[in-house]
Amino acid sequence: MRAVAIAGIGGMRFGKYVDRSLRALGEEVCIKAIRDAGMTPRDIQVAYVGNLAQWEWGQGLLIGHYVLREIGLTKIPITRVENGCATGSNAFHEAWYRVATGACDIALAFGVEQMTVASSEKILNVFTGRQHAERGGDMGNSAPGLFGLLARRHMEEFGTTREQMAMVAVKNRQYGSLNPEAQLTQAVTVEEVLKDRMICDPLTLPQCCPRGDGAAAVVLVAGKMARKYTPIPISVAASVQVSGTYPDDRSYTFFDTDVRAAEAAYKMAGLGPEDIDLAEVHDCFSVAEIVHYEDLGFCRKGEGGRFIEEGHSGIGGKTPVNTSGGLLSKGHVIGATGISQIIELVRQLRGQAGRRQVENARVALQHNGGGFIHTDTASCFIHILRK
Amino acid sequence: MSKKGKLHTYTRSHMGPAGIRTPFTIGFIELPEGIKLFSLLTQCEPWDKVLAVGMEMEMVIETIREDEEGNEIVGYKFRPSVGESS
Repeated sequence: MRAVAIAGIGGMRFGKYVDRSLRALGEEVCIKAIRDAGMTPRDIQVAYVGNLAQWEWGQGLLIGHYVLREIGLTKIPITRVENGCATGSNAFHEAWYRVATGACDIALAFGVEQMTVASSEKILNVFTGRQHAERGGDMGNSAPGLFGLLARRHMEEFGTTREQMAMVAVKNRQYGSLNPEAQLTQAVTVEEVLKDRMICDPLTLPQCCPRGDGAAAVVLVAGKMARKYTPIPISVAASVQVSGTYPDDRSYTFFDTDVRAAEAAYKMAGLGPEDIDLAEVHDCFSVAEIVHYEDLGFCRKGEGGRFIEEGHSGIGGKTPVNTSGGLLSKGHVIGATGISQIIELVRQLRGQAGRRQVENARVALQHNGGGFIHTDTASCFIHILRK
Repeated sequence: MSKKGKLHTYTRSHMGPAGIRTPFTIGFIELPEGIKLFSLLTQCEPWDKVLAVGMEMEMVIETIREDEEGNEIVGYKFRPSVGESS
């Protein structure tokens, strides 16, 4: 595999865009990313798009082609990918692979999703996969349910507290208030988080990520030509994808996919968790972030609650996590989420994160878990980026 | 498969699919065969006083939910064991 770098990024504020088409959302970020890389659409040789579903009417076709045709990008290979909540990261991974193998020199990866057009019930049905009996959607299972179950077991085994979980929401909403691209921009206190509406005990509403509409795009280039397009190339030091094995012979307090993906990513980058200056991790629910600290090796197993409480995951701490505000502030705009995480890390490594800037950030980790089967995520992607 | 197991974890859900009245209680039951089984929990009120990780649970057959036409769908649930203590 040869070196690959990120040369351009294009983000937008996540929110509710019922008056805009899916195509228009995708078009906006693709143009931004291509311009940021100092390119024109004609420079792009291959494109991957992440889009989980067209929520109001089910499975749409050819979204990548429709978006790119708008900006005059035709003829090249264009492929849509889907991998649950890690759909955007999957698009990035495929684009990286094309460049890393030498199949092409310049690739575009983007994600786009429009969820506010559909009812909550429709979204719940897609998420819980009512057609798959083993997922238990018809028996009351749901994403918040699965994370409420995880939280209870973590509290029982390690003494993790409701307050510690609430602190994840407080931290991420504080950073979200500093991020112009976040959907929720108001900071909250621990008391407010704990007093809010209960969704699945112990997870109250601010501890569950909202949905939303939006898009995110990046341009990847072969490392050797990166300086032609950007003054600060950000290299992809590791790009890893794993799938679940759904083991039953273990306690439901961690994600086996996380642990295996992290091990492979650190090996590929020749780095360890101690080298990571900041991370964007999949905080779909507050407890998830605590579990990811442990799974990714930022702290020892069972110590994730103390890690947030002692400030280690805040800006100025040992490993700042989710300086973008995370999914808890941005919303989980599924196809775009993974790429939006990468955009935050590129901004941080370029020194362009404004009031959220982590000093001297050189190495950053992105983590995105996709879907849920039984007690594990179905897929997990980890990328390590380096200045 | 065994009809008895241990409560691995549980939660009270205030949201869920149409046909199940909220709030309801769900959990994973660890069966002696080494399987974790997702299940609705029943006969366990007040849930936050009655339920505890590791407690003995047993299977019962009850109404799970109602379908779109109002028919009752019957299936398994777990409740705290009331039989002979093991």
